[in-house]
Amino acid sequence: MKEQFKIADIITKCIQEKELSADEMQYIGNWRKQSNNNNTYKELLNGNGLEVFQQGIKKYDSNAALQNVLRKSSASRFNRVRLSFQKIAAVVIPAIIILGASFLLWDSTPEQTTIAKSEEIKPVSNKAILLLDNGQSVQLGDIEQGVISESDGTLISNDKGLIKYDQSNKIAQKTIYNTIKVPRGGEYQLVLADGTKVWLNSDSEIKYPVQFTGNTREVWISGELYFDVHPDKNKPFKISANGVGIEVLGTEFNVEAYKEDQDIITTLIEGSVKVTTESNKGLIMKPNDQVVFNRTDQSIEINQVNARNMSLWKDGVFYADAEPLSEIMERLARWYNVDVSYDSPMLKTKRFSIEVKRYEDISKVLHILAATQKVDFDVEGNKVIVMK
Amino acid sequence: MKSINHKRIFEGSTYEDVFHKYYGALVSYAVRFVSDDQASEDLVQDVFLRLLNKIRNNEELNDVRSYLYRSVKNQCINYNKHMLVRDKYEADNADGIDNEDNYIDAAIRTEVYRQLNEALKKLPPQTQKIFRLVLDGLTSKEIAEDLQLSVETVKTQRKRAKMMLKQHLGNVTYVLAILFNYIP
Repeated sequence: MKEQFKIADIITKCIQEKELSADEMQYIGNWRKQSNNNNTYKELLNGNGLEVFQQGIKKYDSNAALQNVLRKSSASRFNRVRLSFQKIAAVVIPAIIILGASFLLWDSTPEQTTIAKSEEIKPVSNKAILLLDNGQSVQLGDIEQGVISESDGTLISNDKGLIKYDQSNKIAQKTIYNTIKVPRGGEYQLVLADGTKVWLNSDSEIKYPVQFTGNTREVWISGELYFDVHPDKNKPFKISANGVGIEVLGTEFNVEAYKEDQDIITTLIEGSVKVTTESNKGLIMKPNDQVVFNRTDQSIEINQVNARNMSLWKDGVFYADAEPLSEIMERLARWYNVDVSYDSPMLKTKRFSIEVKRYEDISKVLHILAATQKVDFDVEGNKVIVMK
Repeated sequence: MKSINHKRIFEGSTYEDVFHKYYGALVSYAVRFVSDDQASEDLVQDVFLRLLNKIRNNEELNDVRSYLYRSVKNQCINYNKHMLVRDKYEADNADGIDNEDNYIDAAIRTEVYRQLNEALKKLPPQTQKIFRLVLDGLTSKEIAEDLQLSVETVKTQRKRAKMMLKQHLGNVTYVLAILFNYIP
């Protein structure tokens, strides 16, 4: 194989009118003497073939092909990883089922574990801070109910954990922005002026125009949010999330983009979205695709997932599928606003599967994990200590 | 579960770079033997998938170009063998095509054009457009009328193309032969 590329490189040089070394001249000279080679040489130097070649390769879309290869590659790797989880799942899942059956008994004998002794850690509540265009901040909560008027006349109504913007009939003078910040332990729902619905998970925020006046609808986010975008072909919906751009073509999807996390994870539930990063201009996602963008090495990975499971949080379900304990605890810490520490770092890599309603006390979730006997917890005030 | 797509893996190129540089060329190489666009694309993608697995498993690869062409060639031979079972007539046909000399000749042609095309892709769009018209046999004057530019601009662009290809790319593609030898 090597020889033919040496020939190809020399011929390319000839065409480019570069000087050849004595060795190269001799090499190509010998080659041209053999069988039909001189005809090939003449045809190549004549140059007519290049246009045919260019026309030919136009048909083959290397971007689509690359996506295809990456998808296949991650699909096969995902299966491999899951296989190795089977052992763990075989232990963990029955343990959860058994525990579920014995839960009532546990409740009647609370002294049995350290967790049960601790005071209850409050479940998630509807709380958020709304920043208006003039810099004024408004506390939003379960009880507060009312209507605020922005400087451009847009009416903002707040009721039971949901804030809603009305579409204004007036032509706006300039675009003004609002921001919603949801603290740890909180969650909130938002309906934008165009009818797009947004669910904000704990420790998340979104900045958005009060009215979408331009040719595009653009918002900026951080944290974990679920979008149900109102379709409007004439005004593409664009999301900027810490270095990843998501262009929406009318759809439902989940974005996880916490500032402290390495990975920005986009999971598509329905429709179609285009993800752009600095190094990848335009990756079209299909439903159940999950794109993981690593901010450090700029790598992109496409996984096939059950997308519904990835967005169960918005329906108040805590879900994990063979996830390392460190990731599970990180999410629980955000959700219940607790600090987590480990007796041994080895514990962080243990994997667990869990599906539990999230509005319950954190100790119930910890009980389920502890029932596997692979891990135990101690709760002191706002601190959770993970032990063996 | 991190991917390596963006890591520099071959002489300063990433896996993605290599993919974009070789994909089209390798498919056109395969089409010469397989004569089916879809089948050719599939088998070239298969080769790239294997390459990715090799990189992930840290297997040694000293010459990516040879690896790619050799793998595509083997895939073509396998595909044609498979057809042999399915269709005796096509098989007789494929038997003639599938000799070593044909693969060598095709690899040389493909590789020459691929390298020239890569060099050309780095030219500014306007210069590329002028180049294409030169290829079509148009004179500077005709090109100027076609693109609504002055003859001087077209001539300057031709000169600029020469400079860029020589200095920046270190490559003087055969554009030069056409751009300058045939300047009217």
